[in-house]
Amino acid sequence: MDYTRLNDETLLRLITRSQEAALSELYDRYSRLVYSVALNTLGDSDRAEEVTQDVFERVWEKASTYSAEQGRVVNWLSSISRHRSIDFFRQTRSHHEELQITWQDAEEADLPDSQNVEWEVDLVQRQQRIRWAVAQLPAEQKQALGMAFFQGLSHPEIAAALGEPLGTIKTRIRLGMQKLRTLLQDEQVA
Amino acid sequence: MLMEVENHVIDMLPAFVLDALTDDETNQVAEHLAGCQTCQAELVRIQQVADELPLALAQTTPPPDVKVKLMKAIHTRQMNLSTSSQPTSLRQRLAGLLRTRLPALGLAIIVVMVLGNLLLLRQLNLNNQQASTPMRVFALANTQNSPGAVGTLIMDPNGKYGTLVVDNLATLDSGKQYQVWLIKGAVHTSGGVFSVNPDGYGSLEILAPQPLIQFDSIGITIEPVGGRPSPTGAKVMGGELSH
Repeated sequence: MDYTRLNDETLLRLITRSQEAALSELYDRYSRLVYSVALNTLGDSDRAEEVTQDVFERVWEKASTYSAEQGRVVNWLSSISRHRSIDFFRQTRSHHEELQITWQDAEEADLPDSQNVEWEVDLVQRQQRIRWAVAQLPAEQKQALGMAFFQGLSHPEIAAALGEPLGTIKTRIRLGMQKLRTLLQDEQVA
Repeated sequence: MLMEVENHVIDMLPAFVLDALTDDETNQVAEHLAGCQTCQAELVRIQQVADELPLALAQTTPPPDVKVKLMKAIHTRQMNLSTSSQPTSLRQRLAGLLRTRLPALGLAIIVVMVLGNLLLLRQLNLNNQQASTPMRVFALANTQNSPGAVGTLIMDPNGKYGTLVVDNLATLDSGKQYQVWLIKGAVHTSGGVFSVNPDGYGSLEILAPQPLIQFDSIGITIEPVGGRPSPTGAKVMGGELSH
């Protein structure tokens, strides 16, 4: 069976049947995404590797809990990665230091394989859209969004870490997300 | 109507989906959402944006040994699950023996020991066991890619399960592993991946979706860590599974 041609949902179904090759293929597709989320949250490659292994072990155990109503598999995987990374972050950090979030340049997609199947084409298009939209934001909005999303910090924690007024941080996050929503919506309509 | 608009929590939704609100603020938003379809619809749109954010990161490839550790952990878990759900006896004891890290004493010695143990156990159980078929043993031949390598597949009497033992195979780079293929006609089914120790010794309890005896032959190739859906690398060993 050529697992590379199977979509994500089918791979998860095979994982529930304990097919190791299906997990191997899912890892090949998304380990870079999972590792990057962990790396941006933790700023430490050793712990990011630990989180990456942990996330895919959870996928192996919990694949049967996924349902398509929860959204795409890649979003489900991102969500697990983000929450596990934030758990690690909270366990090991006594204070919140400013970490640099490494956003990708706009419209660059970085999948390793040729885009010859539907899932690859879809993923590349979505990467390009969100990267283009994030690139439109002012640097301070990207920074505040990144600290909230990837490091799980609250408004007051971000304000303290950046030495900015609380109201300023609230505004940056609100405006940043609303602008992304508008950009993505307009782009989809166009 | 104006009051209703003023009371909406739309401006708080971005921070709500990012978990950036305080507990009190989170409760306030949740309470409002329970009775407001307008804000529920906006929440869905904002959540869709948040779901996409990880895709905007610059992506970095994890080191190859992360996948090695992952697949090893999963395979070990599978093997434990498999053996705990199967009836005990000769096959399980044999697999347990082969899984232990025996020093590389040479495959011939191992096979002789295994068969010796088998005969001994059969002898001991003779009084309360009905006559049974002996274990099946298949030799694997090396190829020009693995001169000196030896391998044996030991299959239970029913042809359902099997354990592969190899010796004198080359140790591979951290990004590569050996993968076992069970072949029927033109179809190759993965039987699992394994690595060898510095002496070139390794073993694998083969997990297959159907009894091993139903396959025509077995092969081993070098593949990226974790294995591939079908063979892509050099073949190092192979053998017929004559019925």
